[in-house]
Amino acid sequence: MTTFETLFAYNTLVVLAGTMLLGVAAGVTGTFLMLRGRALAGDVIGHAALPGVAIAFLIYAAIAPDAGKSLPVMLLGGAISSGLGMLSVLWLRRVSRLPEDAVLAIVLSTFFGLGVVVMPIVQASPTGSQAGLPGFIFGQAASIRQSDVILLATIALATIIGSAMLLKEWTLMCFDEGLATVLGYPIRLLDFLLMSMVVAVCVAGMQSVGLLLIVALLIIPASSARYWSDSIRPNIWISALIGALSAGLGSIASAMVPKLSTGAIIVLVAACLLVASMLVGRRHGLIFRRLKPLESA
Amino acid sequence: MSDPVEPLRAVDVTIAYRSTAVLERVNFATPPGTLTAIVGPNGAGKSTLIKAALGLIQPAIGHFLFFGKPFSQVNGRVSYVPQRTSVDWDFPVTALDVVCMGLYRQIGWLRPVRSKHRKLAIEALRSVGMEDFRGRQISQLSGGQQQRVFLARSLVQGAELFLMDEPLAGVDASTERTIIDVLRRLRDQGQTAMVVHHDLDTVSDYFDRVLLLNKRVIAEGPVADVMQPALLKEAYGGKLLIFDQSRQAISDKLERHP
Repeated sequence: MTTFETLFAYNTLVVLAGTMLLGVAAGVTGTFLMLRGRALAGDVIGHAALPGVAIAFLIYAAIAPDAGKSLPVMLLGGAISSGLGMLSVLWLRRVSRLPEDAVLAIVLSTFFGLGVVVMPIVQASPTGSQAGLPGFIFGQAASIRQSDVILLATIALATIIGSAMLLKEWTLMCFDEGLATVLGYPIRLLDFLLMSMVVAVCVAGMQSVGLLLIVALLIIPASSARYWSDSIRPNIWISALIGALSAGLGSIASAMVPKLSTGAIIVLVAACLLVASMLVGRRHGLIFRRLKPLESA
Repeated sequence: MSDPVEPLRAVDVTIAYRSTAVLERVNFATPPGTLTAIVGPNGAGKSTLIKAALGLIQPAIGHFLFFGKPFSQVNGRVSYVPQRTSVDWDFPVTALDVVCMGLYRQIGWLRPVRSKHRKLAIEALRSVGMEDFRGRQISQLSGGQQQRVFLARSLVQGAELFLMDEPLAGVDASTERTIIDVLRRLRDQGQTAMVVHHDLDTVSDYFDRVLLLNKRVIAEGPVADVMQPALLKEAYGGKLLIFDQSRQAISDKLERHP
């Protein structure tokens, strides 16, 4: 097959659609995550998924030895351990005297460490090689099957719709928790929903971007968008667009060059778009700031 | 209407950060239709009191009653203006967006902000002289303008009790006048405001009542009763003395070198 044929093969297009939807979901959710000042929580959630994925695979293999791997089960396992990771952060913050960043680092490394301990057990099990755990860590878009794409796209779509519905409430919570409380909004519930969406994005993105680097897709597009607009709605759209572009271009590169780590390429594309935004962003980019230093309104 | 109920009553409120008491057995009742200044030295627990009343900090002992009810039953009737330093000014929102937030509860879950809501918000911005700045991102406003935007957000909410944390700190003279005018208008309409205030010189000009605080309530009541040297000294201790002395020194100097 020529490069051209590979690029337009049905399979490639399906994977491309899946990762781009993920990019949109991560861009939208990431905007709120960043405005809430929780960029690193995304990293914790990503890393904390590893033990869940591995243990879920082992449990499923024990229950149904001949069924091979089940993506939904593994993703569910990842979501559960990500959730436990987040709860550990909240709990440690409440009961310990440790600073916030230390708590995040502790939980992130402990959960990931547990995952790395469990990994050899998975690899040594009879069906272990099918689990494809290295793919979950670094991302391997080529390993995504068509049936997976439907699941991933559903998660991504649910995230996008959820964010659209809670736009007002999340904006308020991120900007002024005090007013949100005064107006009687259930902050804990809103916070829980936001973090659930982040977990959903991380879990959906594990196969293409990998759980080590998924935080980049949450944070880099959202950071880039800030250079283009001072209003929250455009920020969300631009972040979604940059997320989709990064994920799409990364997946294309990964389809054309075998053995390329998809996640890493997606992150590098996103980083390039961030640098470009810092230079030519319409609102705060370097060039426009030079051209109109005192522009306001 | 039944008997007029105080908009805010504190009942034995004690707040502690890790076993150190920040506020001890605070009791007071604010009559409706009054402007109260919350006054006290740094670290007296003024902001803590506001935050606790809003449910942002849980008291170790005691509770607050709003219009005779717990806070959860008065959503929307209480409004608050945060301290300027506690706001993320780089947040991607315009002045108009901020004011619209005061309407979110009225707009309801899952519904977008519509043009009729924006009209209400612009009306509120006009009442504080800020309608021309509605499209500005909030970091592009001066300190006084920012404070007015938050006041407009409070107004649009249609609240009956306003809790404000240092709205007059570091604002220009015209903003100070605007805020005081708005507060007086609210009072004349029967609403109530409690304002953390730092400038002892203007307390008697601007407010009807004073809550003098230093970890506990030193005094509470009409301005003339509370702004007494003995009580102020009790609240401020040596700090006020130094303040008085330096002011004396300045006026002495001015007299010597007119």
